[in-house]
Amino acid sequence: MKKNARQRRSRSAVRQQGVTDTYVRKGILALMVLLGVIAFAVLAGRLVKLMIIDHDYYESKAISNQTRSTSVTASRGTIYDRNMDVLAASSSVENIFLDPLELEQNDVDVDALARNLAQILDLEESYIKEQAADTSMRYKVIKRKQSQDVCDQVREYISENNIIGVHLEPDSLRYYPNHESASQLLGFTNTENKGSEGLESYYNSILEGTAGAVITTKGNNETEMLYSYEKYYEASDGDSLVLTIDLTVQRALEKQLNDAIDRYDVLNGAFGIVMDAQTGEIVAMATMGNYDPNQYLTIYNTAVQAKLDEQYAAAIQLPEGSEEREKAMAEYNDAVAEARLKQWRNRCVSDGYEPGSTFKVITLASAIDSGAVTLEDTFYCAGVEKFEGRSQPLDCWQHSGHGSETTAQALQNSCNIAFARIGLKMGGDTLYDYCSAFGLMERTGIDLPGEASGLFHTKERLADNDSYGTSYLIATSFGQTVKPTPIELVRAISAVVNGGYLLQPYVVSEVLDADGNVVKQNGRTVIRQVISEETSATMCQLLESVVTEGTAKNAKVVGFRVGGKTGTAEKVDQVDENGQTTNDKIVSFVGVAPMNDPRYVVLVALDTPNAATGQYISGGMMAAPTCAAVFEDILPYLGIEPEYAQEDMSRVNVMMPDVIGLDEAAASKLLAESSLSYRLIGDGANVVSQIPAAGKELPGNSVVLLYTDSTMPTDKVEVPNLMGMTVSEATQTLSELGLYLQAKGTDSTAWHVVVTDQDIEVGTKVSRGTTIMVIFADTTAMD
Amino acid sequence: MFGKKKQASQLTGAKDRVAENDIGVMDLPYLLLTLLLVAIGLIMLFSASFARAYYITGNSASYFTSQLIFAVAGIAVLYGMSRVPYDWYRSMSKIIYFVTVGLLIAVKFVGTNVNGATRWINFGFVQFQPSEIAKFSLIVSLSVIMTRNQANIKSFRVFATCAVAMLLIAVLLIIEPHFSATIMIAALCFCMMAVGGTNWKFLSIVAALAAAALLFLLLSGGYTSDRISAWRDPEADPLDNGLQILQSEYAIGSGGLLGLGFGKGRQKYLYLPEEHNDYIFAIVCEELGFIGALAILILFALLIIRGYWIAMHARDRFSMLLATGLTTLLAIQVILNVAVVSNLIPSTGISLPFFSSGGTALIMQLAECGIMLNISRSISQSPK
Repeated sequence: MKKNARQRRSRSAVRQQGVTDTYVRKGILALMVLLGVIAFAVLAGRLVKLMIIDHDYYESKAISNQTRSTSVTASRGTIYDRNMDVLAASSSVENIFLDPLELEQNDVDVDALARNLAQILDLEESYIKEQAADTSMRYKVIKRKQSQDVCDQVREYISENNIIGVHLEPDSLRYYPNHESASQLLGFTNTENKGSEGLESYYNSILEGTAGAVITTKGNNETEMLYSYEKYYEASDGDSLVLTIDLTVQRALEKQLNDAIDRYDVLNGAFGIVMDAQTGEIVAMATMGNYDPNQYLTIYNTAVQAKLDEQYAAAIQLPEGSEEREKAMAEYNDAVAEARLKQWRNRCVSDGYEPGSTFKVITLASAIDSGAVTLEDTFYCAGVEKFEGRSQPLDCWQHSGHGSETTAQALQNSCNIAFARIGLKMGGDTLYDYCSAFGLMERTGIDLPGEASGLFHTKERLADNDSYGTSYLIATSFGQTVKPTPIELVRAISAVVNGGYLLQPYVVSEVLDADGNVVKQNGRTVIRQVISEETSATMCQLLESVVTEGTAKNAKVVGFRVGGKTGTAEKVDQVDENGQTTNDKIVSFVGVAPMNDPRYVVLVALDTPNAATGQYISGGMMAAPTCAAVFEDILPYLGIEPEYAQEDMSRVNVMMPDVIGLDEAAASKLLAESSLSYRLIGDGANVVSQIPAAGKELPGNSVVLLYTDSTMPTDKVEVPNLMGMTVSEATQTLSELGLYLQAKGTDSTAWHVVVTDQDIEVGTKVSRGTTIMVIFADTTAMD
Repeated sequence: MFGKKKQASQLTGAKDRVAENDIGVMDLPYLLLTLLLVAIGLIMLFSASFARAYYITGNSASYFTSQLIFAVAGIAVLYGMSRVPYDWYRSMSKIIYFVTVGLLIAVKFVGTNVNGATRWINFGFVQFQPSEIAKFSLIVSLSVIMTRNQANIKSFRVFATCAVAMLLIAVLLIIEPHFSATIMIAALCFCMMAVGGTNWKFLSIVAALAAAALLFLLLSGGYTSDRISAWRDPEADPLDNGLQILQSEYAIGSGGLLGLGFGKGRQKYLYLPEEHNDYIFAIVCEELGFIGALAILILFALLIIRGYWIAMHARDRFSMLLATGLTTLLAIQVILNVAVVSNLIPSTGISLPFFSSGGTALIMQLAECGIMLNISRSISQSPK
């Protein structure tokens, strides 16, 4: 009953509480639509958004996520001189670095590692340990730019001992095979291999090339991918430079400047330029105290380095951590930086200097070209003169005065009073315009970094004599109060002698690509014609007469026609520690050769010859012979044919022929061919011995000794002191000892031409027949 | 379409009226779709897993090989299950349910702890998640409860019975903890009860409560709120919380229309974590592109639609509900997995049926398909 009732209840509940299969099926249909269609449509929509609409965004994100880029270094171009001698080149080296984190993670025995690496790399063990201890870093370079064999040793060590955490990376090393030669001109590259200073800096973008890269897809944790994406951007190597510089000429210039610094005790360095006046090519450019770009941080001036060492020693004496010490250290570091900058500085383009009387060439060329002055004009110099518009009376450097002079003599004598008059005659306007045309107020645009433009007066100062007086004009006329840069002056003088054309000076003649093809070529570029060819020819004659007749006699080079102008200038803006103007002088000489077809202009400047030595400080005494020595070295090399007069032969070295065993007639004939004469000693038929020995060099016109018996002396003789002797005195003294004299310097035989230097020291024992090189100088050649 | 006769026979709770030797034929579209997805899943698993397999084991086919063995075994199980009459589950439902509860309790004590959650039981040669069993067991239990009480299905008592059956398992899952499985069984039960005829009043209240609970869970606790912020802006924390989802987006997005080509994906090279597992669909998108991914989604959708078609045509209420439950389970898994991988919803650990690596899950999935096929057999049987 009960069961029936419940059944009944439940049956009746079917109607109220149950659902039909149709209801269920409708529900299933709803689920089918919701979960089988709508939900999937939503998912598909999401995929459209990610995969189609935002595809580019996610693709680039994914690629940057998956790719690794490794850079491929480009090799830096080479710098060649004009004869393709290497001046700067790069080689492949490697840097050795630690990954301290990796070392720690792999439990590397750092003590053993430090001991072994210290040995291979010549480092302090403690230094390596210190670097390895910094486990927050992953890149600690312990030694840079190591050669292949050192790196191979490191590699061997790390692979044999399974060390993880020591790595090598490729780098490149710049080396300069000629060390100090042309160092400021070349510059150097810094640790990042970027050009710093000089041509390395100016042409950095051309030299360095473009680094390439390999972009590869890598799995996470550096796993390799089966299908990887790889793109290779080739590195393009840097282009090479071919310079106008001739290494032989450069070395000759540097050698002569160095010798001059020693000879005259020059305190503040020297500089010189050799320029091809016809093309604008710079054949040599030197600034002494130079440095070695291979070790550009080392201070090469030993005196400066000693002073710095002293300063450092004093600084570390101070208590550690104290303010004084920090200050002293900072001062020391500043001093080091300053010393470095000074030795890197190319004074030939970066600094103005006092040209002194060399500037008179410009004044005179301007005056003649403008017609203000002719060669027929005469000037009178009384030694001192009062000019209108100038408060101080003007002294000529020769206080006794030059008397009456022609225009040519005014230049030969370097007469200040005559040049003051020439300047006034021409007027400030004209002088300014010519100087401007000569490019003395603008940078030359030479392809070197850090070029300065010289200091020059404004046009008003020179021209407006009512407001400014005449003193600026007068001083400028003879080269005081102006400061062109050396390159500006050399270019201007080149224009004076080459027919009047102001040229663009340049150092790089060709740019070569990695395969050696010429991609860029520089050549003669005329900026403007400043003076007429006629004026230029006149100036050439006048310049040659300065050497033959005037203050520059010491610049004479036997066999070559040389012209030039001396200059001695007070460094007016130099003050000593008391604020007094110092008596420091800069002496210089601009030489031109050969005068029949002016080709090379050489500037030689010696900054502050030491007055304390008592020598007479002048361009004629110091710079002119230095320039002559440069010409003597370079002109034959540069293919200028010497023309010797017979009397010049004594200046030319000839080789002693072998006449032993010959009779007198045969010996005489052989010796005559070599411009040698002889003295026969003994009464034998044939020569048995000779002084000097065969193959020795000796000056032409010398007398050799031929012995027909065994009386030839074999003892040694002491070199006598020849200083201050005239040519005939010196020749006499040496021939008495069986020695030969090779004369350098001026060939004048006047009484005031005396020996100023000899190459073998007094008292040295030498064999008979030895040649002593002697420098003669005209002691009256002043200014 | 739905014959009155059939309806009547079900209402009376009548059993088989088919001849003993007529077991019917399996639903061919359902079978083919299943096998096709298994095949595609295996191939994609190989592509997605070889980089990691090589990195970890040195054998790039190691995941694939084990999955292949399970797939072959799974297909055998599928066929076997298709021959087990579904009524057997009805009679076994209590045992299945309490074994499940037992396993869920046991897992707390003997289970393997992975990342702070104890979800796996390890039998040495094989390990499986009791939560997989739990889903099936709930489907069977609810189907039985709602079939047995179909007369008063809208009563509170039936609703409460279903809810208690579900809640017991849900609580056990939460303490594992296994949040995603909990959400899944909740959604699953909700769908089944809605279809089965539970009063909408109760269901609305449950839905409101569930929504509130979900919101509370999402807003509290660092574990989940990190997921929320990673979901909203994965690039804010690209190396930690955002890593997985960001790498997944990179993979999907870089696929484009046509993809990088089969086997040529790059994100699987240890960039995308779980690339052979929960996130395999990202690799599918990267390699096969939008076209390929859409094709696979369509295959899944067709399988689900066909599953519901079987449910609608099933012979009796129990098999209707059973098929509905199994199909809904599959649908929820696929939809949630793809939604997570494409960052449509915050991440939660749900694998992609037939694709994700995992042997027992695949066998379980194929067994459930076997049950679906058994239900489909009854459709072809001519009623007597």
